[in-house]
Amino acid sequence: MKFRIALAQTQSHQADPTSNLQVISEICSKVELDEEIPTIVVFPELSVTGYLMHDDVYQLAEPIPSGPFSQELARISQKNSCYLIAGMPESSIPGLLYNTAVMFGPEGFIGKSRKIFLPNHSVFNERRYFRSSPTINVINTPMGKIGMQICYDIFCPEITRAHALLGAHTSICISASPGVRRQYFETFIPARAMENTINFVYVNQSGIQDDLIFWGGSEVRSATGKQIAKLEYNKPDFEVCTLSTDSSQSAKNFVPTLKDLPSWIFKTIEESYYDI
Amino acid sequence: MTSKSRIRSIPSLDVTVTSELIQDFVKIRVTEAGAEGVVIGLSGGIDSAVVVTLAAKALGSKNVIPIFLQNINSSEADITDIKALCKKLKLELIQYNIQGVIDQFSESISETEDSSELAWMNIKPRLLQTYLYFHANKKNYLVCGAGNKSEIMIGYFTKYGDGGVDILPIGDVYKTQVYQLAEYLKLPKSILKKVPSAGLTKGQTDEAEIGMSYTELDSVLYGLEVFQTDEQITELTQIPLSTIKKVRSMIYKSEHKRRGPILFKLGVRTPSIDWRIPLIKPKHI
Repeated sequence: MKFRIALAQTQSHQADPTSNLQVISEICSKVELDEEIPTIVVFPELSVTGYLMHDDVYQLAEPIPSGPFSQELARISQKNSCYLIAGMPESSIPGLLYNTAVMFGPEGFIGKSRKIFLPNHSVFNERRYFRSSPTINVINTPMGKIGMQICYDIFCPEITRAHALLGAHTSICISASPGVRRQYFETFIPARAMENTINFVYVNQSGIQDDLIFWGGSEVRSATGKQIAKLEYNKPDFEVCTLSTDSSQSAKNFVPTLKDLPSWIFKTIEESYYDI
Repeated sequence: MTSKSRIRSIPSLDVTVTSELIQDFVKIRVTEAGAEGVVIGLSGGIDSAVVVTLAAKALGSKNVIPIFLQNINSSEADITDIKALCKKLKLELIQYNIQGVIDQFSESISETEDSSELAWMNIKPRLLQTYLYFHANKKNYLVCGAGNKSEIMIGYFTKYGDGGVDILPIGDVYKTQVYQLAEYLKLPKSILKKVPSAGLTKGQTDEAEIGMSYTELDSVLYGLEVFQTDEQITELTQIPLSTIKKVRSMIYKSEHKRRGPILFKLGVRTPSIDWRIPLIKPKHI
C-alpha cells in the first residue's frame, strides 16, 4: 500500500498554541490531496506549543485527546481529510507531564506515543518538566502499523528496533534539534532505516526560539536507506513524498537483520545494564 | 615543526550560513522585542565593523544607528575607517567628543584622570552605554553589542559598559572566526589588518594586555569548550600548561561578568534562578 508523507518543517511560536494551530491548519488546508493515496502531514516536536515554553508548560499541557488543542487538531484533520502528526505537552494526571507525539485522522484520534529519552544536558532541560514514557508502542493506522518517536529517542537505537519488531513499516521521528546536533541526526536517520529495514521519517523544527537555532533539514529515508526527501536547513520548508508499506518487506528480504537477530543479545544488554 | 606551527586553529566557520543565522537572529530579536532597529557603538575595530555590517544587511540601513565616541585616545585611523564603513553601508554616523564629559566627571569627584587605572578605564565604556541607550530609548531601538566569544569567556570587557547591551550577535563566535566573517563580508583591509585594541589607553593592544595571541587564546578556549584536559590541549597545541591555567583562571574570575546580578533563593520560584519563562510574551498572556 502506498501512502504520502507531507513534511511540515515549521518554525513554532513559543508558548503560543493559538498561532501554531493556525499555522498547522493553514498548511493542512494547502496540501494537495491524492484521492487514491492517504496523506500524513507531519509537524515537529512540540509544534503545538513551541519547544522552549519553559515553566509555561504547566499551563499549556492538556489531556490527550480530550483537551482543547487536541480537539482542534482533530477538527483540522477531519476538515482537510488528512492524517496529521504533531507534538504537544500532555498532562496525564495533574502534575504529571509527557512530551508526546499525537496522530489524528479524518476519523478522529488515532494514537499517541510519549518520549522516552528526555535530554537533560547541554541546553536541554526536559526532565525538569516531563516524565519518561515507560513503554514503547506502535500505532495501528489505516496505513498499517507506524511507530512514533521524539527527537533524542533516535539516539537510542533500541526504540526503532522495537518499532520494527512490533511490526511497524515506518518510524516517524518528530524533533526540535538545535544546530550543533545536526551531524548526529544525519548519521542516525539513514542508519535507523537500514539497520531495521524500516521507512524512516524525520521532521525537525526550524528557526530561532530564545537563544536556540533549530536546523531544520527534515528528511525521509526508505527501508533501504535511500533518501526520498530532504528539506532546507534552518528555515521553514515543506515537501510531499510517497512511501510504500511494502518497501519494508522487500528490504527485509534483501537484508534480513530482524530475522537474524538473536534474542540472547537482549539478555546480555539487560544484564550489563544492571552491572554498571 | 616549530611550537608556533603546532598551535591548532579552531574549526572554520561556515561563513555563509553563520552570516545568515546572525542576520536572522538580529531580525527576530528586534521584531520580538517590538523594537524598530538597533544602535551600535563603533570603535574602528573588526568586531563592531562585522556586527554593523550584518545588522545593516538584516534590518536595512535606515534601521541601524552607528555611534562613535571620540576621546583623547581615539586614533585618526579609527575615525577614517568608521566614516568610510558608514558611507559604504549608507549609515548616518552619530559622533560625539566625550572628553569634556570625562573632564567634568573628573572635576566633580576632585580626582585627575589616570588612564592606567581600571576605575578610569571603565568610565569610557560605561559612558558609551549611556549614549547608546539614550538613542535606543528615544527611537525604540535595541542596543546591539559587538563582544565576541573570546573576550566574553575571559571577561575582557567592562561590566555594564560594553557588556551592557541587549543582544550580542557574535557572542558565540571566537575572535579568530570573526576575521573569517570579516573576509567573507569583504570589510576594508585597513580594518582587517588593524591590531586589535580596546582603545581605552594610548598604544593599548588586546594581545599585550591579555598576555597571549588570539590564536593561542582561541585554541585553549576551544579545547576547554570541548571538555579537553589541560594535558590534552598542550599535547595538541604545544601551548604551555601555564598559559592554559592562566586562561582557566581568567574564565573563573570573570564568571560574575557573564551573569546577571547574583541573588539567592528564598521563594518557591526565584528570578534568574528557577523562574523560567520564554524570552517573548506569548499571545495567551
